[in-house]
Amino acid sequence: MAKFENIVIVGGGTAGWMCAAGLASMLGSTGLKITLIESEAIGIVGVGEATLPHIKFFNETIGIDEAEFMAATSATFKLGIEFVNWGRIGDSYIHPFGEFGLPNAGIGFHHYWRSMMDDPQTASMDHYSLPIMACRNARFRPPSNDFRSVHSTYKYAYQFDATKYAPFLRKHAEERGVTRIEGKLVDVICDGENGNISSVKLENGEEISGDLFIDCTGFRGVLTEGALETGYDEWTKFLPCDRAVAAPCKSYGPLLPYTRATADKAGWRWRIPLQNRTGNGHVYSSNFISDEKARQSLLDNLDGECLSEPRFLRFTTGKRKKLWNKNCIAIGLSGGFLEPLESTSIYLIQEGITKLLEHFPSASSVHIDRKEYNDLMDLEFERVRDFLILHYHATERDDSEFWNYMRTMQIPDSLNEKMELFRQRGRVTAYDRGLFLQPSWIAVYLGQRIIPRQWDDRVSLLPDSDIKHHLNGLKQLMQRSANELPQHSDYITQYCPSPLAAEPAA
Amino acid sequence: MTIKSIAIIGSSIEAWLPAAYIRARLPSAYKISIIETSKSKDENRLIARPNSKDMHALLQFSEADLGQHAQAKPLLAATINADIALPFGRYGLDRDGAEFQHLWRRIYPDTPIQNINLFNLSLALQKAALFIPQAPQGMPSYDYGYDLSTNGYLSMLKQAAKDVLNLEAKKLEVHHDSGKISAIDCGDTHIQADLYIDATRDGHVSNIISTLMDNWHGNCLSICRNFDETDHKNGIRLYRLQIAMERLIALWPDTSFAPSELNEYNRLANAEQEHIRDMNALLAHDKKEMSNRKALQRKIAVFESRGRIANEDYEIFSKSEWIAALAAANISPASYDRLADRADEHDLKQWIKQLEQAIGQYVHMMGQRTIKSSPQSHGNVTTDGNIISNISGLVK
Repeated sequence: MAKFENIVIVGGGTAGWMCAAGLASMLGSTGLKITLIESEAIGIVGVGEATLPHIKFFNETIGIDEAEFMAATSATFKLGIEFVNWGRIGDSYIHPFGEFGLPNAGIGFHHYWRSMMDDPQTASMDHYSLPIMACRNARFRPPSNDFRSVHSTYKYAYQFDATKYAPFLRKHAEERGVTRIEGKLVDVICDGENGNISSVKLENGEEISGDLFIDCTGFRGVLTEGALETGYDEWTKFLPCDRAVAAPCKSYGPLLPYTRATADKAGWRWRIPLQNRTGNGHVYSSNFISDEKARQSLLDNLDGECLSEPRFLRFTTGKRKKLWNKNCIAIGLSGGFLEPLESTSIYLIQEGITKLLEHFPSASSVHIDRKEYNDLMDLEFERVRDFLILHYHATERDDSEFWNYMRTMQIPDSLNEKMELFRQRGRVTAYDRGLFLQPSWIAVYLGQRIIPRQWDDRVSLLPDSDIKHHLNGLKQLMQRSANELPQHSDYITQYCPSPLAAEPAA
Repeated sequence: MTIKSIAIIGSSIEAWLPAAYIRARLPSAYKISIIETSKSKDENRLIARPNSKDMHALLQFSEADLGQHAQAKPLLAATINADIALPFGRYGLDRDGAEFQHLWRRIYPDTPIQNINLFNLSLALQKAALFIPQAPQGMPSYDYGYDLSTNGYLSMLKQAAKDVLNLEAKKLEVHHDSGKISAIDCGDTHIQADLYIDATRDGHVSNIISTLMDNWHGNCLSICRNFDETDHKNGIRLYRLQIAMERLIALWPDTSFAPSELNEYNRLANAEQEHIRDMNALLAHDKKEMSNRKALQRKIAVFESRGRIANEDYEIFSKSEWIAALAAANISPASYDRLADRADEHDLKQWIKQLEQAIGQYVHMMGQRTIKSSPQSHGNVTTDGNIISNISGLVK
């Protein structure tokens, strides 16, 4: 029976080196031999400059020092994502990595807020969330561990230079025994009997054999698709954006602890502030806008001087039919892509690695390990997909063909049911698992004008004056607490300055 | 329109727990009636799982009250029969990213799976008829529930359910129209309410307005019609009622009974019911039923191959309870997680032996230090301040 001792990772971008570092840190001591093949001649996409809070756990688990990592990747802190022009042109809301309000009598804060929404003294939801107020005031400090404190009501992630994350992880992985082979892959050799990949051949004639192959070759999926013809489930019907054009620019203005996603005519533009520059991109649907117009829209909306020629990417939203097929696991862009709207790319890489560690195969159990892995990852992808569709579909925009399509398209039943439940009385469909939990759904629903018709009846039984008092107290608490935090830029300068950091922004 | 009146049809705790719960959660403005159906023979004792503490806090039932009025005994595991107890505590300790059962399996690949029970402190303490409210540091953690007198607990619920109109059902005639109950004729009285809670075990009322198996139809919510005899033993009888009330409050409707809210309730309740059936089939070792249950088959296959417990959404039973039930069914892992290979084998062997000894010694030591209490006593305090009780007593 096959053993799984010899692991070959093909591709050395973010996904490849995350896999190498994760496997080496967690299983390197068990005798696992890990080889990573990459070619300097092939560029990396550098996916995921913006991340979700889960990456902190990944870095901690594999023993990465936060300040060192942040300095090496010119990273900044991230408390949420601002969505501009999504519900209507002129709208802005932040999806925070944290809570709205504080727990009160077991009733979600948004019910209190909804009951007083039309009162002139009631502010927008932003004002009742500490991470949002910190974002709006460009402030940051890590959360408190004291669960009684309002300063414990948020988490954070990072915004970093993805092209520097892979080299940083490479050093970490090589120190833990990962062998890197420089070379361009020219052939994949499969076993005639069972169809498994037995080895890969490099341009110089070298043949690298392995028991388990991890395909991190990017969109092409050289192993999983090129050799194994796994197949791909396209989700372009729901998520039609299929191209991106990206360019960095000089930083300008205060260093913001959040990513911005601004809806455009046929897609949206990202803005990710790093210590030394600002990352920008325009994700769009080629059915609704030309490449040149998309490029121009990106350039027209930069904060400052463009630092390099914009580069284009093509992708198809969806996922492989089997993320683990035969003895090959597709992790990263080779496995699927759900566009970067909610910074899920690195999260899905991380989940792929975590679930591989949890289901690392043995000879006798590989068929069950594989099935479990695929089922669990499918669920992750599908739940992220529904959340992304919500952003596009919950809009009142009718100023372009693209938004007319998105607004009126047929969406999955699972999402329709979720939206209707919220519309009725602000209830959020309950899950144990899945990436986005209640506060995330509430932020996007309300931010994109899905306003519940009613609210929890128990709130209706309270005197208006009590609710107003409660809301006003919370608003003051959040503002006061945000003001207690240092400026994000000051915190970075003190904690993890990058050698590449730009001069203080104008 | 806001719901103002609630009629509950049933008997015993099935009827009175909802009344007490709703009264505690919602203001007294709600009018609650209980139409008590004929009382069938009830079990003397009632198992409360650890999560019942949240409900007891809501109902303001202190442990002292439970001891005094419901003759509560602390419970570290739910005893199903002489061979099976579902522990409320963990198996061993995790290490190097691996769960204990994998570490244990690596060192003892051929040992009968049931021997893993030696590493469950809650099972060891319960077997020795000892109760310590909290595991000491460095030992497998656990929680505890209660073994209660059904009648005593019922009295407490009745007291908590203030201002409830209690009617005896001399007959039970359900009037309905377009899938909604319009009134219930219970002999002397004709009851009309906005919301009807069917607390009969056979779903007597809800079956009249719908043949569907969902729990909530129109203005009638059925909360215990899937009752199974095993529910008495594993604490599901009380658990199910508590969760039904939590779910109802979380989705508290108005008189429009929006389909989206009813659907969400039914989706969650149906998932819960499937988990209960999975566990009951496994505990009964009902091979035919087991083979028909997809999620249970998945759990068995995953455990058999590598000793993992495959989780689903809305799990009720803890990983430890599943391990205990699978072990009792003699379903044994063929292998273990690779993460368990991280530790040095010799060190790991020593560590596991030390843990086994530590658990044994701790249980022995606690047994020695326990001052035998009189039947009326609810616990004893040892000289070092630890509260220790004979299992027949209750910790204050």
